[in-house]
Amino acid sequence: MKKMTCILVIFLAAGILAAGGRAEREPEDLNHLIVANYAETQIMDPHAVEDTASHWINNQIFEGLVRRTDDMGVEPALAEDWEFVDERTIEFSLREGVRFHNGDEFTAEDVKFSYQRLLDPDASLAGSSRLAMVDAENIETIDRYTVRIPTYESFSALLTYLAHSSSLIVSRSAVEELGGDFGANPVGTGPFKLSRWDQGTAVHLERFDDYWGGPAQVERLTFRGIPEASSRTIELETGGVHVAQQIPETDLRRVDENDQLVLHQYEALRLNYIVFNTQKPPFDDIRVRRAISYAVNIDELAEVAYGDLGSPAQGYMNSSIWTFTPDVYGYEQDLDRARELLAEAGYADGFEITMSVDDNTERRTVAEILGSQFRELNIDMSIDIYEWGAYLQMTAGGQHDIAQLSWLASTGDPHHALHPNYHSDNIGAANRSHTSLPELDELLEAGMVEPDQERRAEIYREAQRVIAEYAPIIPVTDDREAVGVRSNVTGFQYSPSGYHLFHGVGLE
Amino acid sequence: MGRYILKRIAALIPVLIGATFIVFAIMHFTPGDPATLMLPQDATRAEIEAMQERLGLNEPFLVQYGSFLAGLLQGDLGISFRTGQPVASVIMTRLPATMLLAAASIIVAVIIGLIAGIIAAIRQYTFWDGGAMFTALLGVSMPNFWLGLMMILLFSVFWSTNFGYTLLPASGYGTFQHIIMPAVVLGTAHASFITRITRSSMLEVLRQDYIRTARAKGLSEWAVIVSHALRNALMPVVTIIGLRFGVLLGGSVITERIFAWPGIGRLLIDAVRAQDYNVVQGIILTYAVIFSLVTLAVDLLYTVIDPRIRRQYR
Amino acid sequence: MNTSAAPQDQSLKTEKRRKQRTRLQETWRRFRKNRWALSGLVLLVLLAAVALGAGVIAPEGVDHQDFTRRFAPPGQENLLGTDNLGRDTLSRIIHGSRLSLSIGFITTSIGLIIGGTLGAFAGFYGGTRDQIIMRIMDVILAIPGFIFAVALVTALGPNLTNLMIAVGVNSIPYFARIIRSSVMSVKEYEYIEAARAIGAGDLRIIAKHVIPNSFAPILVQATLRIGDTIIIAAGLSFLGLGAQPPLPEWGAMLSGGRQYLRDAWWMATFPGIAIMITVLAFNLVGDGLRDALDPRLKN
Repeated sequence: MKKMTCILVIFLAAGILAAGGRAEREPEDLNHLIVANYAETQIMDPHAVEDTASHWINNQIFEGLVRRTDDMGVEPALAEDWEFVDERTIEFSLREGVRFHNGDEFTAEDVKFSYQRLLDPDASLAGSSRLAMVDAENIETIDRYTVRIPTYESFSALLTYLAHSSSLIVSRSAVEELGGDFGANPVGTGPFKLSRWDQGTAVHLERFDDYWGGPAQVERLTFRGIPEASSRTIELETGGVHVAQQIPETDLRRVDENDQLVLHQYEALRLNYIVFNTQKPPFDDIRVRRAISYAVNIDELAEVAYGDLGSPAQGYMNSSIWTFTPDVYGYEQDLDRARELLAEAGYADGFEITMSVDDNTERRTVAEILGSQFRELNIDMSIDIYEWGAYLQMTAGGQHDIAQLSWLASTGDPHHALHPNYHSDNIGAANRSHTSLPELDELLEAGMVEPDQERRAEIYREAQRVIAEYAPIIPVTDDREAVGVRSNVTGFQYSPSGYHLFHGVGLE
Repeated sequence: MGRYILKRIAALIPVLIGATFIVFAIMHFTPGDPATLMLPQDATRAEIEAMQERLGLNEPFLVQYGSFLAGLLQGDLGISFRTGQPVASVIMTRLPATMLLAAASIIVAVIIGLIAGIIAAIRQYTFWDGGAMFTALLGVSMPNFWLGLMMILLFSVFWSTNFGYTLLPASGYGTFQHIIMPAVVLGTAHASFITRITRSSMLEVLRQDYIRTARAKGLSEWAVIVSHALRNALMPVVTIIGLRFGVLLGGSVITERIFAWPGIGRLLIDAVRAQDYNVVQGIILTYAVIFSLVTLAVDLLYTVIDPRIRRQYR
Repeated sequence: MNTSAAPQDQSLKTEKRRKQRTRLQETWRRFRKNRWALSGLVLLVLLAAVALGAGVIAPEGVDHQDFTRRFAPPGQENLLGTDNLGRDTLSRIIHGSRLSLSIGFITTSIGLIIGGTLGAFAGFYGGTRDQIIMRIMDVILAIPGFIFAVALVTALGPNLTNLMIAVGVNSIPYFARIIRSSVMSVKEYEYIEAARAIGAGDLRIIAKHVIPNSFAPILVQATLRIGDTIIIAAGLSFLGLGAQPPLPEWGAMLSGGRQYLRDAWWMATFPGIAIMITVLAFNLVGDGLRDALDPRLKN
């Protein structure tokens, strides 16, 4: 029996000691910036992941040829200058004297290697579809600092796609040396390099002193993955982190009113919407889709479900995208009109439908509100919740009656906003309303190749008009995001993409 | 004895294979597929199919399971679909955090359970008996995410707004303070089992002749309880700790999420949702191995302590 | 069954019934002495009454939304406040009692019936049948229960029915083990031998003699298990794998209210208290029963 008591005591002691570690409270280190990310990083290989939490960190470690500006343009990053050699080829002059974290010089070979790696059909990397238009085989290095990138067809929005996180440039020598371990030992040209990755807890970055744009303000930068939204706010309030991404709606006021904190809110590029299955009764009837569009009070939905994290949507793409056309949307709430249209379609006595949603809180709330409001039109709507994977599959397969989705046009380009969702080629993938209109297909194809910005804008305006007529979706909100920052943080500049950069951010 | 252990370990193998098979089947027939989840939403049909091909998802179910088993035999758990990292190394970096949390919560549960159980037993059928049981039951009666959120609000938020510093950090990993709240949340949820078993085994022991003898010898009640009764009542308590270990590991999933604890529970939930088959399989296997080994250890402990049982395995 | 044995069987039965009756009285007498257990029982009776009369007792319907009174704090109008859609929290908790109690009872019944049958078979016949059944149970037990439920609900799709299936399947090995061991302990008793001697079939023996005599431990475990399943269901709701909206399942209400905890504390607090009281009541009754039924604990 003594033995057992012994074992128990050892067990207790080991547990306490192991947990002990460093228990001292440390004074705030002004050279160490701590950031709360809303999820853990998956891996620090920009080509292999497609989630924004990972890409936020990737954007501190790596850089692309060009970078998006806050007003949706692009500016030079690793490329100093560029010109279109012909309709399908763009030539970049690269910045000279740029070093990777491992000391190697950045050259045209790294650009060619990065894109060929990303687009290698055998590797089938997650980010590859972003640059599917690039003819990687035929990328040409003219000299050490000049590279020519051809596309299969003329593609007018190429630069915004090259500014996307999937197009970040990796070190050729490092990838060849490390192979599959590259994602845990990333080597880029960015202002921060990896110091230590505590999987599941945090990514610790440190300043890269040879950064071409001069060294960053802080020596150390830590990203902690904190999935519970309210915990992120609490960590920000209690000083556990200096910056917290995605402040939940319920905490906006609290952060705003706290004089130790600064709240930044910005329009994100996401559109949240209700989507009809246009190939399945009752919503294969355009009158029914229009009737429901008239039945919904968008302002109220936006207010109750999204609060200050969404502004009522007024069109078919996020309003920050440069070709956004607000005047095409004409479905102000009008219940009489809705009843008329339903009667015309033969549904005066209503019908039964199921709204499919994933586990997103706002979408659940929208569904609950609609379920209650549709009773007035004799529509009996039940709600089915799906796991995200199952949800994507069943909406792609067209098994839904009506669903809710959001679309993040992260490149800020109208092609990205409309083509995947409405071109008939994408039925079975991102076209979840199963819209198939030859007229719309033509417009979307024309917009993709049109080099003239004015004419391009006109094409997309026309496309939005066609969509409004067809009513495959009901837009609900334009997303707004909020990032909270402690007031002793200097130089913080939010980015509408959500990938706020920390090169110029310090602490005082 | 050695042969007995070997036999027990050999008996584990079909259980482990069965467990991985069930989970593999569930994962396989879950709607949705990992390729779609990994690719951006604007991926085309062709891109999704190429990804499925690369991940080997087009193979028939049994072929996929077979290649998992073949890998397993060579000690290879495969790589994570999402990150390309070897599953074994991912699990090894995360496992210590979960084990630490499990150990710390057992300590909490044992402390509460022993105290409440002893009080209940020596004051059987009084107010104290019921009161001690009631207290121990409170923990298991609360959904533990609720208790966790309440504790965070009290010890982190309330404390820092009213006293200017945080008593306990709201989330994270690394220091002694970090482990207190998760361990209390998880430990209280398991205290009632230890209380119950302590109480009933104490009650039984207290009726034995040697306790009467000890009392008759004029030993103080306290000495009787601690040095005679408790010692002999501890065995079933150790058993229940072993048996609860699996439940505890499974239950740590939610606690890990609330406190951003870097254990395998959180990793598992993420992997289930992303349908990252290999990671899910690897973690289930880890759980099953740990659970089975703990059960074996408990049985062995019996034989070490009780010579009568030991004799049976000669 | 041959006719000459019938009267004998009859007298055996009456004898047993009488014994059972006195045992029941004895158990009740001892249960009553335990005031904590008794208060648990009173709570359960009250809960059952609330659930049965939910339609009459609740001031409002399940899904009565009113955006003019969103986040109203507890007060005269709404005793326990309103939620983010202006629904009366008290009404939803009252309606939700049906769901939470159903989850507890249905999932435990699934486990009890399937697990009980398997366990009784395994225990009664022993040998290979026992080996096969119990090894399968071992396999399920080797996967932590909560995680098994998560995987199963993910596969089946998150809604109330699937939640109950997953938690119910989870309970199967649990009951299979208990019932197997109690069947094994009673099957050698004299009256079983006697029944066998007079030619009663296996199924009949299991149903008439073995199961009633394993009743005590099963009742205790089932009562405790109901509490557990309500907690497991709440945990699944926390991960977004619970009942579908607008169902007022307590776990879903609690989990949905957690983001408002710091402003509209009542949204998460009251469903949490409801769960706590219910689970506590089941546990108190279960523990009380265990004490009352355990002959070793007689004083």
